[in-house]
Amino acid sequence: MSILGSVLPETLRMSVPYAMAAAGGVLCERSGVVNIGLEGVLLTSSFASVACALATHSPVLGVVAGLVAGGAVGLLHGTLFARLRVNAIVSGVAINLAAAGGTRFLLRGWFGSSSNSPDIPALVALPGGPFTRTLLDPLFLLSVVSVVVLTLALSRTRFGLDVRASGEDPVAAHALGVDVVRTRVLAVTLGSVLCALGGVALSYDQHQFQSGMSGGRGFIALAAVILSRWRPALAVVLCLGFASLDALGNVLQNSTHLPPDALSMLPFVATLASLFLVKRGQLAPEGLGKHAD
Amino acid sequence: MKATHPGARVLLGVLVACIAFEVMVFLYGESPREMLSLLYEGTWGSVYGVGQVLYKATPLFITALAVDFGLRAGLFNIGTEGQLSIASLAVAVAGSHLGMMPGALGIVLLFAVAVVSGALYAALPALLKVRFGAHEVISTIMMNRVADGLVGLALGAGLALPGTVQTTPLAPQLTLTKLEAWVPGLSGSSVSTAVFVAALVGVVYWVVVSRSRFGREVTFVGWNPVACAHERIPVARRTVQALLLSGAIAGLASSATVLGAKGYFEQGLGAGAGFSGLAVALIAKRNIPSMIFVALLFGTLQQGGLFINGHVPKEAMEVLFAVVIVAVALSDSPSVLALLTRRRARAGAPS
Amino acid sequence: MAILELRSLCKTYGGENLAVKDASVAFDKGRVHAVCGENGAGKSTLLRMAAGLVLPDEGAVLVDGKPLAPHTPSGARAMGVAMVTQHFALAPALTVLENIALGERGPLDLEKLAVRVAAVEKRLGVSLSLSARASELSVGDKQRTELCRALLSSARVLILDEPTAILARSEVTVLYTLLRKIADEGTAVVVVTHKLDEIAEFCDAVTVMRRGVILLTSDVPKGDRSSAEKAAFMQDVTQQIMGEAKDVAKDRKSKEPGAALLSVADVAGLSGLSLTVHAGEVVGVAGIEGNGQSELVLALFRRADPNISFVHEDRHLMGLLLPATAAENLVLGDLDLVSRGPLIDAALLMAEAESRAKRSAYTQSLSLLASELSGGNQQKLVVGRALGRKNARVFVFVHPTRGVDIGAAREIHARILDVRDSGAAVLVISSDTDELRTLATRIVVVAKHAFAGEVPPDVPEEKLGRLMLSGEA
Repeated sequence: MSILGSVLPETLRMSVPYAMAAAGGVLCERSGVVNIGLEGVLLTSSFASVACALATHSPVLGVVAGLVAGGAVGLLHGTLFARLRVNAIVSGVAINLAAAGGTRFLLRGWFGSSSNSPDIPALVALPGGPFTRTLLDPLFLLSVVSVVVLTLALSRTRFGLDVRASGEDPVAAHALGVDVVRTRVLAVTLGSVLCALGGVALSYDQHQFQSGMSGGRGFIALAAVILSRWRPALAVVLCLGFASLDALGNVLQNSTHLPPDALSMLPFVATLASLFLVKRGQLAPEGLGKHAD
Repeated sequence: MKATHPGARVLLGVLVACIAFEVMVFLYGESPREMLSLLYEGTWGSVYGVGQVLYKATPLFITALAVDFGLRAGLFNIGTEGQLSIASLAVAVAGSHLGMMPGALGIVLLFAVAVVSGALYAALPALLKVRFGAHEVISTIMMNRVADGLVGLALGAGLALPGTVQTTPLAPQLTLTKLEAWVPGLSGSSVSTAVFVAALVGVVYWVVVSRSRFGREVTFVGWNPVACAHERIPVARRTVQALLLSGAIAGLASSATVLGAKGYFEQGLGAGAGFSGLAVALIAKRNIPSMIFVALLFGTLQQGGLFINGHVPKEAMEVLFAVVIVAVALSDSPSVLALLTRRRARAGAPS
Repeated sequence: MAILELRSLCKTYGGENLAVKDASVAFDKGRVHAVCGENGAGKSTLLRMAAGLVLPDEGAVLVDGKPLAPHTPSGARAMGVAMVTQHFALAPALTVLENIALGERGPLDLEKLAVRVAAVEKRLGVSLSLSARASELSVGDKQRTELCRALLSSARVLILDEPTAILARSEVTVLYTLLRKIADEGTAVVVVTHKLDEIAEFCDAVTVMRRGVILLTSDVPKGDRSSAEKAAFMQDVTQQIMGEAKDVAKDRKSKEPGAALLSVADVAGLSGLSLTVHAGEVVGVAGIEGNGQSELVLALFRRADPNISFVHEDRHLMGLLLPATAAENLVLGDLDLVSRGPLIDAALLMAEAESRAKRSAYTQSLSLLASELSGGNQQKLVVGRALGRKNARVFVFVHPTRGVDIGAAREIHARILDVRDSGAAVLVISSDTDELRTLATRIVVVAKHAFAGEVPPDVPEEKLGRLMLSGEA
């Protein structure tokens, strides 16, 4: 198979965790909450979906468990920042630490392995080549739908308006009767559910949970959020770019003798390089990290 | 807003760590009492255990200072992990070429290598921050991942001994003396004179941040960069300097691992010290004695975690770190107090 | 008939300053009611409590006899109390229509809303560009947007906090015409202001506050402004507002100006300004904010001239380190003066801080944190730092007494005149014309980003106002 033929479906497949983390990140940050805990949400939801799928033998319940776990982490982060006024970076660091340690702890405790869980059943058995299998994957389709819904919700609904107002000017929003705290907690929770969809896709793609399997995708997604200037559609497109580097790395690793360390660095180097492209603080929500009073 | 008293923060941290530990052990199905006594036995219960706690705590304290300096300037240097690993590699490689050097001079030179390489690895995020406005959290996290790759590449490209992932061992006179040489009970422990190096770094650090013009100006910039700019304090320069010095201090943590414990560098040596140091700094919040105590607490948990690993996976300790960070951060939160008092007021108000 | 009643409201901030003390007042439907007093008298705090924005320590807010519950902005809006705050509650990145939508709850339907807004626009005789971003609006348009939003939700009480502080004179009349229309529809209109002529001309009732206490609430006599009854009434109100304290600064005569110490010309964004300040004189720059003053300050600041010392406009943003001690704040930026080599000499630092504290009459402990101080003492730190700068011969003060209580303001005025009399050149930029009259030897007026004229400090208020607004005398 040609390199392009294998890179393209691989890119689409691998873009889901990036893109969903970025979409979730956009929702969090548009409400004014910095969320570096996306990485932890990816890990937590990956693990929760696998653990639940294995325990119940139901891949569908696994998906649900992953989304719920991700939402719970978001609820925690949102509450800590918006309601209890803990610094968002501090809370995010703690969440990432807890997710990294906690998933490995449970991996060893439940599955007796420090590297990976047993395999889980596939969500659905799909026919066809890699391309059709990717496009028909229910998690992929769900992701596409959620990004569209998110974009519309942000611009067209009361909730979206409240989110943007809370993110742009929390003081004004509060003065006008928007419950900024509640809006933010809700936005971070829902954003984390979106991100969790990426985490679930990650583990269903690998048919198992692997220690540290989020691999920095949450952080790259956060960079994509900033590079996109907080626009969901553009953030997703950027994530396709980062995912293509991942895919390229995978393909090259199978077909050449380039050192794997060099290939695994690709998305991170690309992210650093892209940070040179944004000018300072452009179009960031003005109320990012600020409170209503 | 008054911050919680530093001593109270430390006590709260210890208390929360103990309670969370007991809860986790209980949920895991082991006996909380047995595990706590096992934890104690493996750490403060023996001279060797104490030595190991000190050994674990040393790099945490140094990286906590590194993170703290960044925080003073208003920067979250999450990149101490990468700065430390690059510095460790640099120190080990430089050391392996200094075999003929007399000990004292060689060690000072290696410290210089640690400082310079750590600072250099922080240079790119610093540049991105002041020239392009890129948030240091994102860039330093990326730099950590890149450091992982770079170290792997470098070791694979010939810096490691053939067939291994470790560098050529340093000549004995270039390593820091292990304390077991003087205290027989410490036999087998990795604790070294790096402990004294850390103490010295702590003292110098205190002088810099509280007594020097440079240190105060960095702190001022962290408090209000706009006001500083209006008073013609060079804000961008101080920001860059703060991040570079933060990286430099992080590099010094290699004294405990490369120079003190191992005498060489291998993939993964010192891994996690940067993140744990971040946690220590966030909990101790600008108070250097608190940093010592919190580093010791985390050192205890890390060492104790190894000791109980057969019963409860040691990864539990990372979760404890996170719980302590959040608990202590909450104790500072004005909202928590406000919520508590409002509840009380509401309950007491006549309807 | 009273719609809104405030009963024994009390509020303290930080345990130190009593912002509002035992204040009771009622506002009737169909009337325009002014609440006046000097800066820091507690007017804003009182009405922010009424609108649910600030939780009172004691007392009750009653709407139609029912207590405001929950005591939140949305609770107040639900009961028909709307407030237009001094800093507009408009998210800059959102459109006008979206900002108006924020004032409502329920499902978002921008098309339907636009129709309802159009009806309000017609009722008030105003026109808004609904698709423009709030950041692109003029001050007047922002205010009209806020008014439309407040009236959309059938406000029974409409509170405006200093609505005319930033309006041109012609716009002030337009605004009050609008407010009268709104009052006639059965709304209680409450206007916070410290402009007496507005009260005399447009308001039905007035409440006077000083130092957190309501001194009087009374109807404004009807009739022509020049009627004897009205004049006597306004005289009384003025006395109440000012209190018995006498402004010492007013009587201090300046000496003959000396050599020219500061010349300004060709400021980008402020055309036609050519200005020279001599030793021993205070030149005031008057104008409505945002008409080129910041460009002037920036141009002076960019000179990086060590002879020029500044007090910048927003002390919290540009001047103070709230977590630092008073001493550090006083010496901020001059640590080189109190250092030996790389280390700070604590004794030198304290000595320098003490000498600067003296220059601005700061009498609190130097080891207190700036965050623990009142606004007046905070401002004294910033002023003391500027006055104590070595070798400075030119001093630029931007809004030197904004948000400061009267006592501290007078103290600061006296210190500014001290430095003038010591032979320095002083430039005071302020939108407070009273302040400029008190301090300045002559007043330069800017309007619409251009030089509008120069007047003596005893120029009639009317003329100064016209110059500031239109640039024409």
